[in-house]
Amino acid sequence: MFCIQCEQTIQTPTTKGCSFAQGMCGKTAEVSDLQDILVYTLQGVSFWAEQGRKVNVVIDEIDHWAPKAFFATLTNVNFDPERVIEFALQAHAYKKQLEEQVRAAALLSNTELSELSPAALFDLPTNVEELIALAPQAAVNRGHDSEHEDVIGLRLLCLYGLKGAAAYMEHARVLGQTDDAVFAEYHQIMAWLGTDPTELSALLDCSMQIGLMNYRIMEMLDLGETDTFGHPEPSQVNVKTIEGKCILVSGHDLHDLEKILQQTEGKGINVYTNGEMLPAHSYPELKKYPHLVGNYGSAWQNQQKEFANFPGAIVMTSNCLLNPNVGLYADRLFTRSIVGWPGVAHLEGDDFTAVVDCALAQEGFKHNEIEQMITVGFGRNALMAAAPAVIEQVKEGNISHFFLVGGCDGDKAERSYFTDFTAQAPEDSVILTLACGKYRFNKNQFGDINGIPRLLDVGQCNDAYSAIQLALALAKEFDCGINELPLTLVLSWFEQKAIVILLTLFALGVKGIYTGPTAPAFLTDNLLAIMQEKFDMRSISNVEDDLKTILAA
Amino acid sequence: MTQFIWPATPVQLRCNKKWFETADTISLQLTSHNQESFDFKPGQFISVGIEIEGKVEYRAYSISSMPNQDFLQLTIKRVEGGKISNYLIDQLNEGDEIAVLAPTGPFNSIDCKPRKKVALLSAGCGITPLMSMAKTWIAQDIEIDITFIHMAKSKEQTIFFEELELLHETHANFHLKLLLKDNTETNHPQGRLDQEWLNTLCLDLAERTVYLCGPNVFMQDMKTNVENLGLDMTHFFQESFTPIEAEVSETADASGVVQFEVPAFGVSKEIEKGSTLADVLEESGVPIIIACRSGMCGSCKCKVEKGEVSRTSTETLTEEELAQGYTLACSSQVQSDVEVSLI
Repeated sequence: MFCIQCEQTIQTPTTKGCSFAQGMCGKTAEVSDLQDILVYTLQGVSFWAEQGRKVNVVIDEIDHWAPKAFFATLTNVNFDPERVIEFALQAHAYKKQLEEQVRAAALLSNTELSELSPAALFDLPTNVEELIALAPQAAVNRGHDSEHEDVIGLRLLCLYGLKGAAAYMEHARVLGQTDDAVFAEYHQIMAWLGTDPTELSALLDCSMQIGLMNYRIMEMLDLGETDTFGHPEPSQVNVKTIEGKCILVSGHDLHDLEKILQQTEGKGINVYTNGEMLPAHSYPELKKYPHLVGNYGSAWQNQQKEFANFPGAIVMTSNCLLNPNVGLYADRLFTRSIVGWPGVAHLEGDDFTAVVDCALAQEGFKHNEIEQMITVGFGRNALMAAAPAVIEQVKEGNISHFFLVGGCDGDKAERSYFTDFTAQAPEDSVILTLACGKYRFNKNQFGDINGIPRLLDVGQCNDAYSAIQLALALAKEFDCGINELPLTLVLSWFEQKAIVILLTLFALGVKGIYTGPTAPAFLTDNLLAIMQEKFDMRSISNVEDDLKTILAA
Repeated sequence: MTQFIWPATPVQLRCNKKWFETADTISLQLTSHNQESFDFKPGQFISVGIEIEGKVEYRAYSISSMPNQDFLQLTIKRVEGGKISNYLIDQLNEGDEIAVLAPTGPFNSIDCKPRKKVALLSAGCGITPLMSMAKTWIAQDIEIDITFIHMAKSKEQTIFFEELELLHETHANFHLKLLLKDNTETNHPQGRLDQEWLNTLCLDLAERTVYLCGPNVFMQDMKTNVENLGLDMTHFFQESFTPIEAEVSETADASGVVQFEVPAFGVSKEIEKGSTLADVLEESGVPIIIACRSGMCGSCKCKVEKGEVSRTSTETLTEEELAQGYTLACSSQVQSDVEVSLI
């Protein structure tokens, strides 16, 4: 195996990437190899999907399926070799189907097709033993022995960025938002990466293209969520538990949460959110269910303890999943969509009866804890509604600076930086936050500035879109560029969704972003220097020095 | 000569030559099928995988040769009860192939930059990575003044004895300071390396970059000594692992049976004292992630709730975690009845 896509991959001065019998996430070398084969086959699918557009062969079913399959290879999503094989064989079948139809259409219309890329030529045997033997050809760092390490690094930046974008495409699709132009662009990029490109400037341009495309995808996802569930509104959420049977819903997929809320109505089951599902409490069409009682636990890396102590059923709608056997709760865990763990019940379709039955069979919480409320729901509309008051406070000199502190959480001790940063941010600053990185500080007290809460929870990672909208509105009001605003982004990254959001911000021209806890292992020193030069990207150092630098600017 | 490309997965290398360095230590040379040259940073180690009873077990061994030669040389000391080391010594034949993982390790003379003067400080089998560093500096004509301080039992038990003396005679910048417990038939001093001896053998130690490798207890003592002698510790580097089996023999009595418990998984059984924690956790079906098996990656972190383990690497653990009983299962040998938890 060779995998280097997440922040916890092995990184010493001399070794980079997971290349042993298991990755740091716990996926086996077998699953990692199968994922490489799946991704390479998907690049072949995209080759034919792109060619198909020349001759009007567009198969919606395949367009809808391909980003979802790519999403299945995201960090902490699918650890089940059988499921990955299913995805790979399906990709192969779709590739053949497309090839056949595209070749026929091209013949009829006398259209010339592009030369087959290495990914298009990659053919899968149906026999599983032979399949796994192809892993070296499909390795994500293929060519590392002949190409410069910067080329491999940029290919990985594009591949992982596109994977993050594919995940958001799937989240949007579930909510009815698709766009043929986005599918076309996705296939074009994916197909191009399947040609094993070697030109640095073209790869760098591609990463910016992915960033811009993702901006459009986040807009679609925002539309999908707000159209379906209404605009988030500031809402109080209890972060303690109450007596009774219970279901915990984790991951990013609000659609699943809605179905679970509908199917548990009147059954005496309390539904809790976990991790990235927290913002659900602010959507009118979700918060209206009285049995959506609160938020349980914290960020994903603590789930083996927290899920173990949850006396009900647990549904994992997307990343991040950890080995449930460590905390012995595999028998009350259910995976959805792209998520998988060997031996854990996987639910397709919208029938959650098995989850309800499991919750009823579990003990449930025996007592009420003393409630503790936090506020969430500063999505796009709520932020815009607050903007005039915020602007007034800025003009009166009561707000000196805005920070956006968020991103993914993770296990490393260095991540206490983000807690300390928010604690030490000056009292006349406002802190926006999003994604699961917020659990490092979202239960702390920050107070308010003349009625404006100092901590504003914008939502999930993809709600970076809302934060960008606020920044644009402020820039317009103050008649300046985003980079001239007293706004600093301090982002923590873990997986590929964070990578693509960073690419989006770069592509939109946002400069001076602080990132941590460490730089992605796939970026070489040269590439980091390019990021620093082009985008003024900065690595976090220590809170005191960073704050001094930021506030002196 | 073309260079060998290390794949991410284990690769088969052939044992080309094998000989005894001392009565209990061998060196062996590994070559690739196409006789390519091997690139690595002097001081690094490779992991060698041997199938024993149907299961491949890996052990890390420092490379004792120089980079860019058409072989990799490992130097391995016999260890009482050591499965892999003793297999390599007793059963591996010239012509046999073994599985090897790419060289790795932060303790090397490239990433740990030397000043104009260095002191290489070793005991026993810890000499191997330092020998690679010293020979490479000399071969590359790099103007570095090398004081090579090594502690061993006797002339017969000094690994590379003749090679060290030869380097000392032929290179003005290589100063051998050998300290022997039994100095019969040599001109080397007799004694046990402590702070005073260290100061005597190397008066300007504080001006040098110090590289240290040896058994854990030796390294702990020497680190303190070096610090006491006024070295700015930014110029101090030590190996972060000691070959696992070598350490067991130095610090622990590996015989006997102890009780092994992982209550969360209903595991309760007797195991051999000295067993590697990762092995017994795996054998017991406890779901623990074990990636590198060399104490580098930290994936096999677990907690010793009760009892004692000896540790050969604590690389990724913080002081706080160590104090709480966390350990790296691949680098921990069970020394008493123990109770372990994963979370």
